[in-house]
Amino acid sequence: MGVLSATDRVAGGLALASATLAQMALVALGVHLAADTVDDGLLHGLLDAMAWADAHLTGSHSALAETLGMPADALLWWTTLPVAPISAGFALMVELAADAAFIGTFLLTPRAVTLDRPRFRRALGVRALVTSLALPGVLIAGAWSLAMAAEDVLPGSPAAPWVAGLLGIAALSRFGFPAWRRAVAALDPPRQWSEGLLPALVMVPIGLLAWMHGTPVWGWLP
Amino acid sequence: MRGWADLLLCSTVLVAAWVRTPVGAIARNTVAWVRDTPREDVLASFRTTLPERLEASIASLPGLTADTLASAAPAAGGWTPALRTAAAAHLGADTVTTLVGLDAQDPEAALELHTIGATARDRAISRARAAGAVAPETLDAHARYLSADDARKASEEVSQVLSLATALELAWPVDPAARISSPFGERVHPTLKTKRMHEGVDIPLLVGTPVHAAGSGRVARARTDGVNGMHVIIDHGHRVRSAYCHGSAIHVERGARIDQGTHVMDSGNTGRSTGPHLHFGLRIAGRPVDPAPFRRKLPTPAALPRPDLPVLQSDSEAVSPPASVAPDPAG
Repeated sequence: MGVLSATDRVAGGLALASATLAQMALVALGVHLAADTVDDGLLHGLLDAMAWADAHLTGSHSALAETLGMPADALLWWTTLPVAPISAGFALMVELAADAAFIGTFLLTPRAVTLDRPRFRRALGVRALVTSLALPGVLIAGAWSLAMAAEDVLPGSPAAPWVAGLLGIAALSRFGFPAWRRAVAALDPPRQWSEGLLPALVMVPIGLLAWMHGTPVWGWLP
Repeated sequence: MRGWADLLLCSTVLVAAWVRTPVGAIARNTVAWVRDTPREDVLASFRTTLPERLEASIASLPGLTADTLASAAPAAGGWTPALRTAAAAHLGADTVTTLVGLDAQDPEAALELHTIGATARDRAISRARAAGAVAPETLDAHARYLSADDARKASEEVSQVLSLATALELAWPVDPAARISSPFGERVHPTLKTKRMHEGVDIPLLVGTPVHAAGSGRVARARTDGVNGMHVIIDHGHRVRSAYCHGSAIHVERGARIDQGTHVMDSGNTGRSTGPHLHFGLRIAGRPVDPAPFRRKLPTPAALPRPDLPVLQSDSEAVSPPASVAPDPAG
């Protein structure tokens, strides 16, 4: 028992670092689940826009292709080539920016601040609203993504979804909720209402996507 | 024991993020780069993915006889002759029986089941349902809830068989007796004098011969340019497109939905063409393929309307372009 207690104390000593790492990982999982639709949406949007341009601006590139002795649709074909890497690259940038924005809400905040209503009311502004509403969606999506990953590696049995679900709930309650509490409790009164507008440009859409596609509740609602 | 429990839970979350997120992928590859061990999967992701299996399936089509298919499985539910042929070419004739047994009504579901198994599929469907997805049974709706590897495998298998089946349902756009004067493949371009890929087949026809849609679909393009002349491109769905070039009159508008056999164009001699002919091209998954293997591969699904103008019945009647000039390579 002596060895177990000693190692347990060591593990307890690492609690802050390990919890912070787990919170970051949970955000990364949730943001990825939410941002998964950005790539597809962007790809189809760009291709639709090019189809529109193809229909309306046909004269110029067809004539140019003909001058160069190429098939008329050659230039259009070459222009569509970089669409997939562009949309994938943009989606990755959005995802990394969202990771940074969400992790930044709790990463360097003091731990000891308590969450209370008057303090939150004083801190009300863009940053407070976005953090308090978008972060839970991302954290729930992260816990669900963790449960799905666990279910994928568990052998197929009726118990697998329940075990995976319990793991997700455990991660959400042990790391997710404390991350949200830490972020919201540490909010300072804004110097101006628009403070936090820039990160909100990424956090709001990703938060919405997380609530819409990353939380396993909509199918259970009537 | 709380410290241990925390550490265990933390490790689980970290491993999941390490495996399933781009941030994890960046971290993994940075570690691999630092250790100077290039990862095969990273290198593979930069290589062009070519649908080699699809090409192999098309090549195997001539070897499939009606007897082979009839012995493989009886036609059932959603398994049209085209789908059974496509599945046989892609996965082998024996597998068709298994596939029909897995789901006689929904070929897409059967192909997915065959590829990734029932457990992974059921899990993804229940996850999609929980997230409120519309029609979670369809692969499109639940693909993002599969593991990345399963999603890739399932969508490749399903889309390649469906593409092949769509192409197999196409009919020849003119009288099937009309000869092909210039086949698909590499050739020396008669005017440019360079080796070029001919991305279709040329069928010599009298100017004004009606050209019919090879299959139902949406008109993706109907216009004129200096190379293809008056041309029509039809999107048949499942990544299959057919092109008809060098016409003398276009009878459909861009965006219109048309049926198989619709009179889309009259053949002609417009664009980079020195003799009256139809350039008929077929693209599957964005790549030009030889339309010839699909010619009369199946019983004609719908009888094509007879042309109003005389069509060429034999080679002797064909109006070929001058020997020194061949049609353009446009698809």
